[in-house]
Amino acid sequence: MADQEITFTLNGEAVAAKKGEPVLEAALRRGLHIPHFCYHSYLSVVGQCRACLVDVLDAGNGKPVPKLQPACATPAIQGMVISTVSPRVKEAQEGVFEFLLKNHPLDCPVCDQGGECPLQDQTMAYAKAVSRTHELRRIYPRKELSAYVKPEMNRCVHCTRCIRFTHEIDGGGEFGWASRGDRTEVGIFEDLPLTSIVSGNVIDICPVGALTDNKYRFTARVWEMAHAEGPCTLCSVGCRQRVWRAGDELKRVTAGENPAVNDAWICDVGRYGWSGVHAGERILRPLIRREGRLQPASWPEALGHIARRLGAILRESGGGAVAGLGGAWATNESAFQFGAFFREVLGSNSVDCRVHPRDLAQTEAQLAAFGAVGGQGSIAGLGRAKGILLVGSDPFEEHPILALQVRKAARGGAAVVSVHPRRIDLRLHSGLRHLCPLPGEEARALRALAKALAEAGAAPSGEGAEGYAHALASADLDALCREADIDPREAREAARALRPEGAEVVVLAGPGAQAEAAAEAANLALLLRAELLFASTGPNLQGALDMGLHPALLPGGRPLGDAAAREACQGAWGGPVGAAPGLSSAQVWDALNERRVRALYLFGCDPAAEHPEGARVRRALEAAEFVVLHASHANASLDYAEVVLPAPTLYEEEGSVTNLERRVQRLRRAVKPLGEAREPWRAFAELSRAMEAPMRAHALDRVRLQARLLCADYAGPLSRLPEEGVRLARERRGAFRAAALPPAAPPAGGLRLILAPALWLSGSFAASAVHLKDMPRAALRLSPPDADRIGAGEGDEAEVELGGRSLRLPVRVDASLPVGLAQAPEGYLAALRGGLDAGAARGGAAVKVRAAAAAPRVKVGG
Amino acid sequence: MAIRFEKIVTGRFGNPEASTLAGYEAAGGYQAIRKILGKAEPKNVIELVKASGLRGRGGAGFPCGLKWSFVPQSLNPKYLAVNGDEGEPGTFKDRELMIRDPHQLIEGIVVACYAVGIAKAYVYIRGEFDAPWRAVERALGEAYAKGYLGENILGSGFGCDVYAHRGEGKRGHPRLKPPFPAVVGLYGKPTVINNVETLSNLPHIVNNGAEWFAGIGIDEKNTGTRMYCVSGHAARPGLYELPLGLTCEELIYEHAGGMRNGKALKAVIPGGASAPVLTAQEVREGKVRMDFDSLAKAGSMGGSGGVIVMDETACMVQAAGRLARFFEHESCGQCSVCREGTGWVSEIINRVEAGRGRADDLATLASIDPNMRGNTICVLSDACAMMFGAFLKKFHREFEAHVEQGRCPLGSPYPA
Ligand SMILES: Cc1cc2nc3c(=O)[nH]c(=O)nc-3n(C[C@H](O)[C@H](O)[C@H](O)COP(=O)(O)O)c2cc1C
Ligand code: SF4
Ligand code: SF4
Ligand code: SF4
Ligand code: FES
Repeated sequence: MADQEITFTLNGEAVAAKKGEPVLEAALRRGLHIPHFCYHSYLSVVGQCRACLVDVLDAGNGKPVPKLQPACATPAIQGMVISTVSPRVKEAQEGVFEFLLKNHPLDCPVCDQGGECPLQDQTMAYAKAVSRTHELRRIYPRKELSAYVKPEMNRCVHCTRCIRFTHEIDGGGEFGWASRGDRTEVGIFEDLPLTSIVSGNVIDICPVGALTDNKYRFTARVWEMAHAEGPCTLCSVGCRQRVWRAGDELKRVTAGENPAVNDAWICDVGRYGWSGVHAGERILRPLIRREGRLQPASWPEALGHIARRLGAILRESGGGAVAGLGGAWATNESAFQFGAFFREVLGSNSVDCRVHPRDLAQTEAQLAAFGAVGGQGSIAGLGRAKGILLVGSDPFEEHPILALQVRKAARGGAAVVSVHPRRIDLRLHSGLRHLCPLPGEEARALRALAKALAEAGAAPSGEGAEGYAHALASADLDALCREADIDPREAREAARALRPEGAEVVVLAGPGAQAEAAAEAANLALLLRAELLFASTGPNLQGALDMGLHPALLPGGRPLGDAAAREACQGAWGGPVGAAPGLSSAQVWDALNERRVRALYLFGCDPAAEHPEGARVRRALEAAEFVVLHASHANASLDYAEVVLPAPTLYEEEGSVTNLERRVQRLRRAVKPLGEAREPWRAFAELSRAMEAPMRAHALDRVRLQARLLCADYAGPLSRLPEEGVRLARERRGAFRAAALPPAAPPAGGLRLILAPALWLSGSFAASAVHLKDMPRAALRLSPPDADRIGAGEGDEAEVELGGRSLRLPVRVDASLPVGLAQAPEGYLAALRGGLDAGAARGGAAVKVRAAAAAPRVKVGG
Repeated sequence: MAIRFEKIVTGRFGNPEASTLAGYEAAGGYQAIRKILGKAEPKNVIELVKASGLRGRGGAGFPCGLKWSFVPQSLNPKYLAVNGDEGEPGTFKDRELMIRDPHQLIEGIVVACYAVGIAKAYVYIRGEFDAPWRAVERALGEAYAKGYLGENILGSGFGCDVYAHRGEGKRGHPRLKPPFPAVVGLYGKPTVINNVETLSNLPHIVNNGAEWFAGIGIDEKNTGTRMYCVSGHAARPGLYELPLGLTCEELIYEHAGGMRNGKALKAVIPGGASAPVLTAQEVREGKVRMDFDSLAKAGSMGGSGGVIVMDETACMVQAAGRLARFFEHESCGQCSVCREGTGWVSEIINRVEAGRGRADDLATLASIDPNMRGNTICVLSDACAMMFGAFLKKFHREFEAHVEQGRCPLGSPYPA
């Protein structure tokens, strides 16, 4: 019933609509314009601006509606007859526009919205061309909002989109309105600063120049720019966005619409990450290390150098002595070519896109349970779910748009259960339950939850069900809860909330779902018959795996042991593919130390900084005989490289990427590659020629042709991709794995530290993006009692000592942390500044923290 | 038809004890609920109220029983919102009802809740009303203590709770209709909204019957009494409960003591700020009656019962400007039309009054008027347009004179 198709008539034209949807929505979709300001497809309907008034000549019952009706709040009904051109509609429109402009400053020449302003455009189309006002115009006191959102509230038309966005979508509720009548003032509350990570969306939805982009404004006019539309590549969500350039320079990013992924929202990291493209850290030309220093070289020189060095190692030690890491930050095409280069040209299966142990653990857990990675759930499913289990996921910090989807589900009544050492914040007033296990005991908490589900009647079925049922039967809920440090009552309540019979449950495993927790998340998804999503940090980890960047899996995810699969590769590439699995990213480090591997090719990754076991990794990099770094930005691994090749960022490359729900999307080049960067797939082809083993794929369509041949379900998407992309779902069937849980860690005294990725602080790309420097700084988060205990307040510096190293971080007092637990951002910044590694990511490492320096007390407003 | 004079809701106003429970009971209070609770079928109570012809006293004059019957019986919970906001300038009756006879209101509320099947009622009392707030709070306490409220009232098996409130916790914003409050109202649930005076009539209708009530007033659609709040240049301004159907002149000259200082009547606003002004000539020659339908026929409305009487010394531009200020101040600011329109209108009229009128101002005003009607979420915008539209049309010469002379010809002091 809900999606019943009906037809109504607008100005004599037939318009198809879903029954009950707003007449305005259907008309706009049909290309028939009705003026509007307050209406927004993804916000609640308020009917306040009155610009969309229409004449309902027949309400579908043969009778006219006496008063003009707002089209945004008029549900479409079969047989309705509507006019937007009748004299009384025209008169009302002219009236509404006159009122809207009554106090508008009309400062279009100096307004950044000019040229893309719904007020300007619709005024030209619908208003009378005279002004009859002689009064002074309203002036609001000037207030600033944030580093990103520039207010000019005198231009505000009070459409309340910003208010509704922050209340309904973001949940922070920062925007509100004060006063009445024509003194009505829209703004933020002084004690509620606009710091949300999705705040920039108000810029896009504000229909006037009241809220503009502080980083972009006055740098270009919209008519001077061109834009490319496609997925954001800063995380694995892949939100649709528009990337704008003037000449060869990126200017800004705005949100695009994809109802299957991001509705119409993007996060501020996605909005401002582009500023990393023009950053000083960009590698602009090939470099070769000579006399201990990296020195500029030409492409032929650099490729020749690599060819010589690799050629010698191959001759002496064979392909097994070369390993490649990376690819999760590349297009599918470049990832495919990376794998083909390794397998075909180097004869090595030691190629792996899972540089971080977490990615390795999560993908292996999926392989064990489902025989494949990804395709078990959808982002839209998350937004519609009636129950959501978050495992080690803090979506506002890691994948902000997923947080909005979880919130959407919660608004629709979903129960949300979070298994995370912290009480994560989803800005929900109700419906969120926390199970906060000791760090590293997430798997045990999940097993307890599974036990509680079983008590409530959920029964495993399918492959491995017996073993798992047995494991649950013999599990002791109270003991599990005690060891994980969660409350059994709360575990039982959470189990009830998740409703075992519901097919609309989604399990979302985030970066905190490591090792056993990842496997247990898969078990729970099977037990709940739920969709399952793993949210990785690398934007194209899924695509890179599908393209074969795995030591034991060929393109299309086919096992290396499958002779037919190897033959297919040989057919495409021309040479045989070895049957023996290569080394995984976990094995490479020891192999380097033991000289079994002599050369390492780093493709768009930075293990020196990003690997949690930094010291061990750096030792291995030191031991490597020959390291190539092929990347867009200088990073910590550069120090170990003998040759450096420049790569374009994903803003500078054509291709496709695959997001965490296995949606393949077309990436369009937004600007020319900077400097001498050239597409990696091309660089690999050229390198193969330098090695005198030329690859067959030397053009993008050739690479795609091969990928289509070898990756079965990519055949369609890679030949023709619809704008919203194609989600390659897999059959939802898997096997329970009743692995025994590792013994519970003895209760640790003192302060423990966990590392968690913060999207805006992770990766060399984000770190180089100047506009992201206005995001919250890297900080050590402490619970209020712990902060008190060491005598540090918000913003004070603390010295963190861990595994013999120490580093200083500002303190953030955060009541979501339990006493005894501290959190610091994983990744680039922390690692670069001294290396908080040594197993901190798992289980929480013992740290010593002491107050180091008091924060400078800044006078506010002075 | 001869009009029967009988006081209904103000019958106990002379009795200072009536505001207490004991006084109310002694004066025949809480008999109505004894009569119906658990005894009469709720739907028969609705029929009774329909038959009485009782119309809403809050402004729109909508038939009370009919409004009740729109509420879907199957949806629960349902609420009753009692409108004790009394915001319309010139209106001062509900506060007196709440101060002087709060139990009458409470009993009316119980009757309404019983008829519609409501278990919770909220009396919204405007923030400025301190005495009414305290009176209602005290009366609620007494009624609860005596078992007139709460569970199982008088052993009837029916129960309801009544709370005095100062809002829903949100900004005061009229909501889009449909859905109508009868289906989606307070807290998103089916809600009956009734005015304090409307509800105060109910115990009497139950006690004395529909026929008795319908017998007061001028015809079957205009029954009972109204509390006329006479203000302005009448010799004895004040609150007069009188049967529906008296003429305006009778109200002013026979009940409110005629005009102050024997001056001539110039204009009357018969139903609060939103009601279009009537000229003395219209009142006199049209023999305009003060019931709902007669006022509507005369191009105005009964509204909230606020009767503002103005004599020959009153400046119509100043009056319109003052009322425009009210609308400007009260506009909630949601609708572009009303937010900007009320302010604009107020600016223009008050500029004209201050002697700074422009030649095109009156034409501009006249053309703003239709744009402010019928195009907004609630009818505050319409009310503003009806107000200044009537002043402008009926006293156009006076507006013109202001513009031409660059000052107020009546010399009325302009409030800065
Ligand atoms: C702008 C505006 C102001 C109103 N103010 C009041 C008021 O102060 N008190 C009141 O009882 N009704 C007021 N009303 C009418 C109410 O909306 C509502 O119709 C009334 O309370 C219903 O009760 P009744 O049917 O018993 O009259 C107002 C209506 C409008 C459009
Ligand atoms: S600031 Fe912009 S989005 Fe917000 S209410 Fe004003 S016009 Fe609308
Ligand atoms: S959530 Fe991820 S994909 Fe979406 S805008 Fe943010 S960084 Fe980009
Ligand atoms: S008409 Fe005026 S008072 Fe009524 S909802 Fe609109 S802005 Fe508010
Ligand atoms: S778009 Fe319909 S009232 Fe604003």
